[in-house]
Amino acid sequence: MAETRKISFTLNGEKREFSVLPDEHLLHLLRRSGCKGVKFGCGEGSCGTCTVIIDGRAEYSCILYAFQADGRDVRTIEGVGDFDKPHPFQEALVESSGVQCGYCTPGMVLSAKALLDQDPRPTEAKAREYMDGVLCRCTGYEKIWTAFRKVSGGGSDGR
Amino acid sequence: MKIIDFKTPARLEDAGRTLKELGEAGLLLAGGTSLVFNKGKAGRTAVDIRRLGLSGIKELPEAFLVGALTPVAELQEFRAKGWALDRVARAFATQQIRNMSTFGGNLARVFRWNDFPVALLALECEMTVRTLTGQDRPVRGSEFLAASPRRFLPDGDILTAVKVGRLASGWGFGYRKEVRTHADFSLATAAVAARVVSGRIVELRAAAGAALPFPKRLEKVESLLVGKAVPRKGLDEDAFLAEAREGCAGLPWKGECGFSDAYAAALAPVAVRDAVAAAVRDAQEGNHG
Repeated sequence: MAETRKISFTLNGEKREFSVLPDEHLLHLLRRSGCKGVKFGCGEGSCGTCTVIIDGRAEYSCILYAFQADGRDVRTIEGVGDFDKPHPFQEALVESSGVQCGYCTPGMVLSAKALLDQDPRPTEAKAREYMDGVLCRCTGYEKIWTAFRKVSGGGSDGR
Repeated sequence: MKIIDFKTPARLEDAGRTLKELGEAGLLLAGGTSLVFNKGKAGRTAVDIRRLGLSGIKELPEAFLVGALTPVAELQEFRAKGWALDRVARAFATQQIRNMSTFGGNLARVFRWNDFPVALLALECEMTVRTLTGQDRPVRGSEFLAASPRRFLPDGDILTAVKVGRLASGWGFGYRKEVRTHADFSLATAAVAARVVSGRIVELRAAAGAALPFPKRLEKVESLLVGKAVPRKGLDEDAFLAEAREGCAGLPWKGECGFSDAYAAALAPVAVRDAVAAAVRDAQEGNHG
């Protein structure tokens, strides 16, 4: 039986210490730490419902060992916005009926946030490249894109 | 993959020593994205080298020196004259995987669908391996990629950097990956570097992979296409199909994911044809040098 080890990382702006098993994935650590917005989907780094932002980049928490997050900055959907002060993309998703079943929404929001933090006005081509890691099982991508265009200035490729 | 312990060495030398001591029970961990496909039940100790530097892209006069731990996303975002790997990186899995995976990981842990080995055969490259004794050993890319990289990476030796060829003036690069869905593993991959002078292909390096046990230079395709005239306007991809088919014939194409070997053998020349056309166009547009 493997022993637990101590690691620490910044979770949603707060430095925290965690006990982890060597083969525990970050997804499970985050969920047992109260971040239930991190969803389990495929468990093999394909569907994107487990997406979190680590050091400013979107990553899959279902295939990342928890110890790999040691010393890093981790942000989940709980650290992005809430009912009183949603992220602009969250607001746009509601206005565009882009939430649908909601299972992929945290991953979509975090993918968009990681891109928009790096480039607030990405071209449509760049946005499609950077948003390609989350699958919507409702297949309602058009509403999600409508919402994304609202917050990214329309995604004109001619800028 | 069952991880029973992890170590985070502070220096490369420590990582090498730890891996040597652990032997088969050790596992060099970079991005770690491929471990999900390793179904081995034996417990392994992960030696996490992600914090040891070895990341970044440096411009040299005729090449780029890429650290083995450079994330694929950095290859995707890097821009410089003669740089071609951004096109390979953009076609690599999804953005999340591009953010997590490392260049070296894709080269050292060779699955047949891996993307960068094929491109590197066309661009030419040289690997640097840090040995257990602290020496930097150069290994020709064509040798490193020809079979299992384990041959050059005994326990304790670590791939640290790759020198990637820079496309000079008159050269172009083309890359094609045949996939079922956008982020799927490749069924057949082709990469081509071509030099076009006065409307004629004067040099060409073609490589294919994914549908082969290991990536391979396509010497016959190269010899069939060098010297071929290429119109500047109205370039027809099918102009290269006959050479691609003839040059790919007889190789041990393997189908995956339920596809037959015959299907792979039919698909590979299509990828080669498209990569040749893309490389010729790239050269004609004068995008490099």
